[in-house]
Amino acid sequence: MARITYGAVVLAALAGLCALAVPRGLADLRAFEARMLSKSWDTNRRAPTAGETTHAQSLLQEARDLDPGQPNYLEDISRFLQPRQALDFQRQAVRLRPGSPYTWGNIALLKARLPEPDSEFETALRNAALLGPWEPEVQLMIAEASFRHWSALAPGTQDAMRGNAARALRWQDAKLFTLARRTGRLDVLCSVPGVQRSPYSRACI
Amino acid sequence: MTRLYAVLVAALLALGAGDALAQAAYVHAMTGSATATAGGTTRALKIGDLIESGTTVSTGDRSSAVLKFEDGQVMALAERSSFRVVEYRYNKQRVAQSSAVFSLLQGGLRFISGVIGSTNHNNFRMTAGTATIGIRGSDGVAQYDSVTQAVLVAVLAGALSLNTAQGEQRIGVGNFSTATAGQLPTVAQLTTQAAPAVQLAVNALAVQIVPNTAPVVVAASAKAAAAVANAVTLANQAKAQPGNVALQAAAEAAAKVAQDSLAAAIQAAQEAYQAAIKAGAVPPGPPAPPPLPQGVTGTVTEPSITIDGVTVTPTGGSGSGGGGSGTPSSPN
Repeated sequence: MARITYGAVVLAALAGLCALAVPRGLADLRAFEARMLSKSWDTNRRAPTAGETTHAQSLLQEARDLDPGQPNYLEDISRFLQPRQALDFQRQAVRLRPGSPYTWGNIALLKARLPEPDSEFETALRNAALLGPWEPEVQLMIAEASFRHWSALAPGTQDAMRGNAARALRWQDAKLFTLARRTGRLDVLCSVPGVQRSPYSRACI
Repeated sequence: MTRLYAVLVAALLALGAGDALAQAAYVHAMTGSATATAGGTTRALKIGDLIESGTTVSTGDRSSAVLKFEDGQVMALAERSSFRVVEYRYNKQRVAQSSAVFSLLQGGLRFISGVIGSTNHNNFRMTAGTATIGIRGSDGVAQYDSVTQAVLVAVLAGALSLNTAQGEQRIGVGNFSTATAGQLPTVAQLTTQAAPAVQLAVNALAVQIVPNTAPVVVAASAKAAAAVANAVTLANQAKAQPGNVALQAAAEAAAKVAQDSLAAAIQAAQEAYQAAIKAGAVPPGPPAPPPLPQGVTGTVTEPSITIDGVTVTPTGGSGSGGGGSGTPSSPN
C-alpha cells in the first residue's frame, strides 16, 4: 500500500513537472524558430518580407503566451517593434529580470534614440554599467547612448560612462572610436583615462 | 633696471609669438601628394610636417590632407585643392584675442572650428574669391572654382554666413548657399533637396575623417603623427617580409616610439585644452557625424560605416524586423 502511495505521489510530481516543462519547452521551440529566421535574415543581409515578419512575431507571441514569465521573449518581440513600443516591452522585461545589463542597456539605447534623455535613461545607463561592466555588447550600447546625450547627463553618470568607455577601450577601441565619431563625441572619448594606449587615439591629437 | 626687465619680457613674448607663428598647424593625415609653398619655396608634404602662417597648401589628384591647428581648428582638403593660411595667431593667454584668416584658392575643404572660432566668431574668416565665409558655429564645407569664381558653402553643424559685396546670406545647419562674383549669395536651401551634383559635392567633402577639435601642442602632435605614420609603414613592410628579422625589430621599435609620442601628445593636448578653458576659451562644438548614405534618412535603423578600416554596425542594428528597434537580446 505504501509503495502504491509512494508511486502515485511520484507520478503526480512527474505529471506536475511535465505540466510545467512542456509549455516552456514548446515556448522555447517557437522562440528558437523565430530566432533562426531572424539570424538567416542577418546572415543573408536582407530585410524580411512583411509575411516573414508577421510569422516570426506570431511565433514569439505564441512563446510568450506559453511562458509569460520569460523575459527573453519580450526582448525578442521588441526587436520587431518601433522604439516606443519596443521600450514598453523592454520595461516589462526588466521588471521580470532586473539583473540583466542587456535589458537595461536596451532601455538606455532606445531612450537615446527616441530621444528621451531623462532620469529613467540615466538609471538605465548606470544599471547597465554596474551589472555588466565587462559585457562587450553592453559596453558599446551604453557608450553609444551616453555619447548621444552627453551634455544632458549628470556629472555622476558622466563619470560612470567614462569608466565604461575606459573598460571598452581595452578590447573594443576601434569600435568605440567609430561610435565616438558617429555621434560627434571624440572630445569625450579623448578625455577618458588610458585612451592613449589605443592606436586609434591618433584622432585625439 | 626696470626698463631692461621690460625689454627682456618683450623679447621673450616676441619669441613666443614667433614660435606660435612658426607652428600654426601640422599635417595630421594625408593621402596621395600635397605641397606647401611659402616664401617662394615649394616642398612636398608628409604626415607630421609643420605648417606656418603664410603657407599655401595644395593637394594633388586623388589626394587629401587634414591639417590641425593649435587651437583645434581642422581643415580637411579634398583633391586638387589649394588653401592658404593667410594669418594665424593663437593667443594662449587671451584666447578671445586670437585670430585666424584663411583663403580657399581652389577646390574644396571641410572646416571645423577650434577654440578661436568658438570663442569669438568674428575672429575667424575665410575667403573664397570675392566671397567671405564667416562662422556662427562649428562645421562646414566649402568649394570654390577659381575659373568660374563660384562658391558653394554648406553647413554640417552650427551656422555660417556667406558674404559678397552685394550682401550676406546666413546658412543654418543642413543648408547650403552658392555665390558667384558680383552677385548676391543664393537663399539658403536644404542640402538634401539640392541638385544631385550639389549633394554629391557636399557629401564628398563632409565624409572626410577629422580628428578631435580640442587645442593641441603642435610640435608634440606633429611628432606623434609622424611616429605613428612611420610605425604603420614599418609594420606593413614587416608583415610583407616575415623572415626579415631586422625589419621586425625596427617595426617593433617604431611601434614603441609611436605609442610613447602619442601618449605625450595626448597628455600635452589635454593640458592645452585645460589651459585654453582657463584663458577664457569656449569649448568648440563637436564635428557633425559622418553623413548617411543616399536614401537613408532614419535615425533608428542606421547602416554600418567603415572608418580607419573598421566596420561598425550600430549596436543592435542588425536589421531584424521591418523598421524595428534593432536592440540586441540578452544571451539565453
